[in-house]
Amino acid sequence: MKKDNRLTNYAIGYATCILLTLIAYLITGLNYYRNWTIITAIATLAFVQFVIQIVFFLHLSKEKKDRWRLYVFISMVIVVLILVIGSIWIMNSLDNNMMLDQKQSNHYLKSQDGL
Amino acid sequence: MDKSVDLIEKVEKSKTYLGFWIYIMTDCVLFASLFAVYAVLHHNTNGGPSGQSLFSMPYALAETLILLTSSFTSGLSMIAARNNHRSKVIFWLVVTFLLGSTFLYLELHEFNHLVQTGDSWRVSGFLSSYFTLVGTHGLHIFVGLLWMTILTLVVMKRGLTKGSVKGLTLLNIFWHFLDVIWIFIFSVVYLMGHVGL
Repeated sequence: MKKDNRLTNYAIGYATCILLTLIAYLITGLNYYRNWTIITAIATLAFVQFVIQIVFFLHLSKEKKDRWRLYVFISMVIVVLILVIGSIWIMNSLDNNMMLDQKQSNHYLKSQDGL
Repeated sequence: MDKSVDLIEKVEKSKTYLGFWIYIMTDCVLFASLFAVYAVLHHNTNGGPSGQSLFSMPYALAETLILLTSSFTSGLSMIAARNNHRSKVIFWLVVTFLLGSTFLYLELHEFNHLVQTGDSWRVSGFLSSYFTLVGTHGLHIFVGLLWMTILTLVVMKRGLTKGSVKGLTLLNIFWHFLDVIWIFIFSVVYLMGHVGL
């Protein structure tokens, strides 16, 4: 009974992941939607697949025996979000606040023996 | 008959298992920083090619499906171990190994193709970060394949002992983790690169 359950879980996880991968792949070919719509859709599908693999393949649950794994997992997610969103945010505003464009800054660096 | 089930349950409650899980989570942080670098640098093509013109989408899809299948078959080897079925464990480990090496071959083939056509990591910030991110994943796959080879030999020789069951359980979560990382590489690098982020 328990063993069947596990096999079914794996099969469900596998089938769903294939389906999500194919959907994500196919929507990149839809030219009549705006890029940002498609990118949001891809990100959402990736997130759903991430959750499915964590639950069905890595068997992370709220059960007591998994409690510590769950805590470590949550702190990892927080660190990752800060790292990725923070980097993109900071580097973008750095980009926006640069007064010189590429050509000007190259010229400036060369004149200063910077490069 | 229930012997290896008990061994697996014991491993899953052990400190080694939690410790290995913590290692995997810190590896996620490593990949996250490489993703952040890629996200920051992927526009910096320095006049060279962008992802849109470089990557072949059906190729990336094939890689993804192969790795996903290998993640599934590695799960099947775990179920076989629960049922104390040694030859099935070996069979699924070999299948996983073959799928994993096909994946690694495809990845290296793609790298080789890029370098041969003059689009190596030296060309631009975008390509440097691409090679670092995907290459680090490939390196993990390579280590996983080595581990899998050794583990298969141990299971062949000694059967489902305490040591080999422990190795199998840990390798299994390592392999699933590599597939989880690949979802993001496929989505961010290939799919979003194709759309033109």
